[in-house]
Amino acid sequence: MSNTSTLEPQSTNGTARTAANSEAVKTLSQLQKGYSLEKIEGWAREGRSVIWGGNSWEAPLIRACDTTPVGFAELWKEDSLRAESVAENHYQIPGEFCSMIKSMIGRLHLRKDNAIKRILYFGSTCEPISMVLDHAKHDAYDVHCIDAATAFKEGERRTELVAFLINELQKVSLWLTGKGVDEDRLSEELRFKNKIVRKVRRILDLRLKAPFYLNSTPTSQILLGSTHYFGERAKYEQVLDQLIAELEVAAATPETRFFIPLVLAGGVAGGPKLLKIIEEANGVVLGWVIHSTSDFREDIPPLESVAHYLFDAQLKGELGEGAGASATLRRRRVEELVDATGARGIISSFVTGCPYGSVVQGLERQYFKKKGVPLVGLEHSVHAEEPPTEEQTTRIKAFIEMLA
Amino acid sequence: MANDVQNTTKQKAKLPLQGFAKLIEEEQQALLDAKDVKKVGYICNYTPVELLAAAGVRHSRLIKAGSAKTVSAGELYTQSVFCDFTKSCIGFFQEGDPFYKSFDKVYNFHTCATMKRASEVIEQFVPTRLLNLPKLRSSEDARNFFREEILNFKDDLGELTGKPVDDAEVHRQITLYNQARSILKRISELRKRPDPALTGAEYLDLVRGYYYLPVETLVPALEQVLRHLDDLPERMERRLRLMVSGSIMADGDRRLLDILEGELGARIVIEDHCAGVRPFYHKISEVGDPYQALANGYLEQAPCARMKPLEDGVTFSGKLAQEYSVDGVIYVFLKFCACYGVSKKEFITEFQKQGLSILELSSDYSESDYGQLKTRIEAFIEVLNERGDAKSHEQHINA
Repeated sequence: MSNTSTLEPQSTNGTARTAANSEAVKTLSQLQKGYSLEKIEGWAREGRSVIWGGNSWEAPLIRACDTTPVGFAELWKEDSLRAESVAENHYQIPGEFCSMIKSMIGRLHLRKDNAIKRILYFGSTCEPISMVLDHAKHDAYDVHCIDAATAFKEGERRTELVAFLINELQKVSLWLTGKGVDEDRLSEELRFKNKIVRKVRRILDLRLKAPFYLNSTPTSQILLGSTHYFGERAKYEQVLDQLIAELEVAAATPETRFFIPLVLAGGVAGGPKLLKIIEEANGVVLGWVIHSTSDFREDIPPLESVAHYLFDAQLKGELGEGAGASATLRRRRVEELVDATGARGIISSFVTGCPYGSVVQGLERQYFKKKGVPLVGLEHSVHAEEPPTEEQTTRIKAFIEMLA
Repeated sequence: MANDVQNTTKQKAKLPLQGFAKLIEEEQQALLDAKDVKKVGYICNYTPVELLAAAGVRHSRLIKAGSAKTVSAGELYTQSVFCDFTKSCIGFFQEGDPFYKSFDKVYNFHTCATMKRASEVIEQFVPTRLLNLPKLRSSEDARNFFREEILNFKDDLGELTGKPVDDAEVHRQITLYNQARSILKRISELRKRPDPALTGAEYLDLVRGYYYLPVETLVPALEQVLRHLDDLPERMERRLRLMVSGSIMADGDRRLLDILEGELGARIVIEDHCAGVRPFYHKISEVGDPYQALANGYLEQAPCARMKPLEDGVTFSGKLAQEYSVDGVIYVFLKFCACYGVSKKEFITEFQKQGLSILELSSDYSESDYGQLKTRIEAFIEVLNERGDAKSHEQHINA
């Protein structure tokens, strides 16, 4: 593991055109590798409070409760094929449901004897997730639901919605700590999160001018890290600072190489393999519509801020189905990014079997067809163990070739 | 046996079911023809119909489905990964079905995420309002929040009609709908008789009235049916008793019942799904704040699997199986229905605990698997009949 001294600028000599030798990228990679399930479970065994879930809009609250939230995505990073088969056999989850929920519940079952025994989920998430977590109770998991609350449309009354959610968030604190929310701690967490997100936005902006400096895999790691900080917030922040310094230098030299700027709408839950295919075909993902890069408001009480953050995200179609985001409004963010990045096409990606992803993609396909912006749909599983399919590779390559 | 068939036919001839179906047909036409009134469609049983009636709108649940052609119209938006019922809801709008096209507004209390997404698509055809429905059905906070959403619903209806909804009228409608639910439950309970006069399909036809008829028409019509059934002589010969449990069996989705009851002569004596008896097990308080009463009552209703804790829905289903002394359960979930597909193990385990035989079917509205379905159902019934014969033989020996 690198120490902080290795984060001094290494490639800011004005000539670096890729981050191949960047110490910041190396450290980022180390952070990513170090953020493993074994390590997280180790924290729990040492007596730290750790829960499954709570790693999205609610993460600052969970941290303010002295608890580490672990994203469900960690459950399918490894051993997901076996986990899926456990879900289908042990819990009899029908085959048509997505690999994500099956891997989640299968892995929770396989790791039932480990130290993380609490699960938090949000009631506005999709039914497959909400239903599958019920099975976890049979393995003695303590499952807590933040009751469903959704802002469906702009302009609808929000006062009662905010009040209800704040109360639900207080219940989360009681569940985790036995007492109400420490609002000072929460404010501090929100400020830190905002600071991090500002830096992430700066990196994404600089990538517009230096699209080859930082490729898609570390960029997606940065976005992912903005939710969990890889469990090492100071080091993660240093990586961001370092990358900004490097990118500022790289961005000073106008980019002349050929590439196709793209917006990626949706995630790539099965790991970076699809991102690599995009790059091999001369595509560069400059716009990412998966993790929110919005700020929490600091001018209102912190719990209220968390509530508004969630409801605003739902209305912008941010944060995906896990947060109950709007299917029709995500296109606004996609369109914003197409304009801001000069993207020539959109790759709309979702996990096979996901109803949310399928309808979002359908609606966006119609919308952008009218606007004249090409869009290709891409389905994938969460299995990092599986190589990309021939169909995925062909679709991506053909799409980018067509744009060229 | 021949006499039995004759008697049953005779009894059925007396049932005023044809008249009931005609009432529904006439009401649907009247809704289409009406010019001077707002028309509202709603999707889920968690929508307080009392408010729709109190607002003076003509209303109907969007519960039609069963055609593969309509499903494929819906798939223009959803691809294949939604259940066929959801796809049908969208499909009718896409096809320009006159009944669906006639609505001025559609309301959906957020039940499952899939239906939420479908509502977002339906918005492209007709103004649609989504409202929150909490999941934690026993929580006091959830009930208070649901009351607020019901008030939003009330205000929205007032805006739609241009006339505020009157509290006294809400009270009146609560009383009327309590009557309707109570009669439908009592009619269902007559199916506890050893040889019920009503088939499962006929009961579902009566339930259609709850979704299509104005309550003032519905109540007297149901009373007539109840009186009629009540007066029929009770036949003591016990028939094989089956329960259907799981996803919605929509108006038009009679494929399974046609096989079970029409072709194989089996009898469904009870069903646990949201187009059967399930919504009639609750009573709304007729005193105090009507909006709190609606919030409490609707959250207390026998729950959809979407509601938490899931155990409540599972227990209810098990209780129905006991109450109606069923011999076997056909657990049917629509493909891609997460509420009943992902949780099927919980329901099946509950029935197994009661020693019941279960046939699990994954269903959709296609016609290609008809033969396979029939063979599986036939085999299931044969096994149950053999067990029944063995049991009565055993009882005979013990006696």
